[in-house]
Amino acid sequence: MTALRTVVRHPTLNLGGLVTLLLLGTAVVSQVWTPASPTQIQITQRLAPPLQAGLLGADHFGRDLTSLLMVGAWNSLSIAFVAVLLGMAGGVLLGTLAAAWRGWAEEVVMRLADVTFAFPAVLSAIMIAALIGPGATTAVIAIGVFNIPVFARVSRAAALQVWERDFVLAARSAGKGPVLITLHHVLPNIAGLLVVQATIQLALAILAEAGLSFLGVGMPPPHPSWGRMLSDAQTYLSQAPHLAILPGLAIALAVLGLNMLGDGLRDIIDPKLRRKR
Amino acid sequence: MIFLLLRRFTALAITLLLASIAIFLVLEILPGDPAAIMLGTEAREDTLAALRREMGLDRPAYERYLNWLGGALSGNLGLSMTYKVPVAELVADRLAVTFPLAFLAILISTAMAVPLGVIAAANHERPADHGVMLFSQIGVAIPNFWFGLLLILFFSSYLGWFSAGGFPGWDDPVAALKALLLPAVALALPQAAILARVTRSSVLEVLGEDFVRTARAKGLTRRVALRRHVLRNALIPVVTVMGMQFSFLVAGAILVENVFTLPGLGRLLFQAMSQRDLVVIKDVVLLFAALVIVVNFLVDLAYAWLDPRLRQG
Amino acid sequence: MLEVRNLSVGIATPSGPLALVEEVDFRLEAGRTLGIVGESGSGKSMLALALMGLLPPAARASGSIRLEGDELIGLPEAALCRIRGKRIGMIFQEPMTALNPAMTVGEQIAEGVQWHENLGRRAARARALDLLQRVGIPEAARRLDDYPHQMSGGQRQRVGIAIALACRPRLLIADEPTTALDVTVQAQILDLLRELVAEMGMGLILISHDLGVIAETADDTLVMYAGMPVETGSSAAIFARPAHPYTRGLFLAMPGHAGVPAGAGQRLQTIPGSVPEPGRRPSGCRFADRCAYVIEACRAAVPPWEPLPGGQQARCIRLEELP
Repeated sequence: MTALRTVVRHPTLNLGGLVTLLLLGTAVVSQVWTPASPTQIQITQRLAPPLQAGLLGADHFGRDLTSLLMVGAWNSLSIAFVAVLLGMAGGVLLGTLAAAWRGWAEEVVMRLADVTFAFPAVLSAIMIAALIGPGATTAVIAIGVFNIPVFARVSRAAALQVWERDFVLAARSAGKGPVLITLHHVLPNIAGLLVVQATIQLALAILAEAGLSFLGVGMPPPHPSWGRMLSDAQTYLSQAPHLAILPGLAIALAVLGLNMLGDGLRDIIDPKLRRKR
Repeated sequence: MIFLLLRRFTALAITLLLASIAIFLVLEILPGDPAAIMLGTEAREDTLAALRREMGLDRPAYERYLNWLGGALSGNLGLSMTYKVPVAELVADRLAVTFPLAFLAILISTAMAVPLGVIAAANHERPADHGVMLFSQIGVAIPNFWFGLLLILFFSSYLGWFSAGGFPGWDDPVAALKALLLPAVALALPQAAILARVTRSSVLEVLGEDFVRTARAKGLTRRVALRRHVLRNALIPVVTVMGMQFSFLVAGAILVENVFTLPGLGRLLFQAMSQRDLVVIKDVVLLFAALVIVVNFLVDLAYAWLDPRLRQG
Repeated sequence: MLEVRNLSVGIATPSGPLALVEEVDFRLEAGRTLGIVGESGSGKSMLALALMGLLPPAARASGSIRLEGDELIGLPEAALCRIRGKRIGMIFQEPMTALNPAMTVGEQIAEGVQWHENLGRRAARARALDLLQRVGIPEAARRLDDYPHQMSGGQRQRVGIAIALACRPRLLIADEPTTALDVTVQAQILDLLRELVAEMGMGLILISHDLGVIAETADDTLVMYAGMPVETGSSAAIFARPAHPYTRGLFLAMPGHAGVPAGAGQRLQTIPGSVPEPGRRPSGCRFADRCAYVIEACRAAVPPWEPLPGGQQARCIRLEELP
């Protein structure tokens, strides 16, 4: 009951959840319906400002901006989602194993995490793009790789705490091996924390994806992408400022929503931290 | 102390070595034939062969790696395939833009974030606190390259105070700094948003410590106790986060340099990618990664200065 | 020198004001020591913070605190800052956390002197060295530039005392100064406090939950229970004839206790229950719920002070009927 009340009364959580839901809804709807075709070129309404062509105007090819933004939400979210999922899978595996085995395995994992931290997504994306060209795969790998050490550190720290608990001790004395203990006791106990971290990483991944497609190493045209829309808008900055403002606003809103949702979830999962933030 | 330094230096060397191996693996071993990638699928067989020879691809991988590493350590980074000039020269020119840009961004973000965080903590749960937290939430969500575009839109297109990009060179330091100001602000905003938050929670935590009460019992005013006793102790986590953020700063510099068409390392890397100049990419990526690693190493050392308990090791 | 009249501390809560400390009265003369004793939750520390003017932001003190004739209640913050450290020094419970880890002990001692007396660095450092020697740190000149983590708990508490004494205050407040220390170190610190009071002629308020500490050091004793004083008088009188049932309970719970009325036996006893939180305190005698001698009338109103021989006083309506 009290947990439910906290959820209901938590403004950050509610607002963040609402924005995230809106984002998800837009992305899903874009796959079945958009106000206009996001690929249809209509030179007559080229660079049209909002309300003059469609709700939000048109881009430099005369494509409907509303539709482009909607499909952009889908593309951005799906890349971010897959990348974070990959990073989480790899990171949690490494982190929990490091916590289970300790010793040199832990040392190796943490050193590797240090090294990977030196390669922000943009940097590795440029390396990969130079080899296999730009595209969704490049973006997913680059963002995913940078997420591995994040999840490795978080899950290792959390798993180490679980390993100190009494029920793990009991399981160990009952003869359970580290792998089973990790599966049965550690993972269920750190799942909440991982969900919180994943929400926040999703926000960061959306930012990174936007950066990659801004540089032209993300999803290639004609797939609409918020970052590339911004990159295209640079050329028409003074003629059509809405092209530079609206996609950025979409990114910021998406990130803001996910961050607030993550903060709210953390408050509920870990009330101890609450007073400090 | 010396033992501690030695251990840290060893860890630094190992991390740097691992990073260079990772780069070498990705860019020289994974593709199989880097020369084919650089010249594209339609290259003639004799040009390919010439490039392979030039890049030393006929020699074994470990020899190439050691050559590259040795070159990197002695400042000989090889020859750019597209520019036909030594990469070291290219990099040196570009560093003269990127380094001041990053430095300026750190300066601006710290100058903004630390006072904001302290003000928020000193006014805990009051309007000033809520205001700073709101700024932080929004600042974190704004992509720096978009913020850069907005700055250009307002200060260049609308007000006409700054040029929309480009770099005049350091012959005229004032003009150079002016050209770096907007990009640095764009780069600094998200960093400042995070730092302000970290500073706030760190100051709040230290404010609750017993020794702050001891200081107040000496008769120090709230403000003086904050300055003399809280700040230094609160800065330790702030410096950690600054070190961790350096990696984002590097990524941000690549983006922001492209928004403002600054001839920096990020732009060089971007151009090298477009031209598939693997030699330049390899060197610049190594430089960026090494920068991140060394900065984090320096942050580690800074702890010892901030927290005397860590000096003995 | 110090006169406290009807001092109360209240805190504003969402469900209305809440009293933490109520109706405290006492006097302290220079060169004498007042012991304040009570279990945790009795309001001792809150009382000490009220005397220092360092209450938490939501708490308010009312009544009167007169230090050498000057009223402290209601003084603006700036004026209080000129009194804290200069005229009142305070020693805290936890020597491990009460010192700034990032500042040398010399700097921390000198800081108050520089602040209040506008002394230069050199002079303040000389004073710090002097104080460090006075509180019994061996090789003080060498230890001046040590950081707190390089010292033991007892040495840190000595530094804490040096900080409190830096400006030669007239009043010293020590809140559980020995609680966190080893028994052997406890005795040394108490000896040091006694010496300093005798030598410098200041008034000392010694707060402790430990009757043994109070017995060794205090001239007068004030027993607090649930935010309210329940017994007061000279330590000699109280330790010879504890009057209030709570005070007696404290004695019975003390190992090797003395002055227990005949028939009470020599077994250690505990007082059943625990100190009620503010807001859950009984309306009459605060001790009613835990008292073995409670009658209906005890709950009707807060008992008045009942005078006993030798200036001793206790807040209990059944003093004469007690065994």
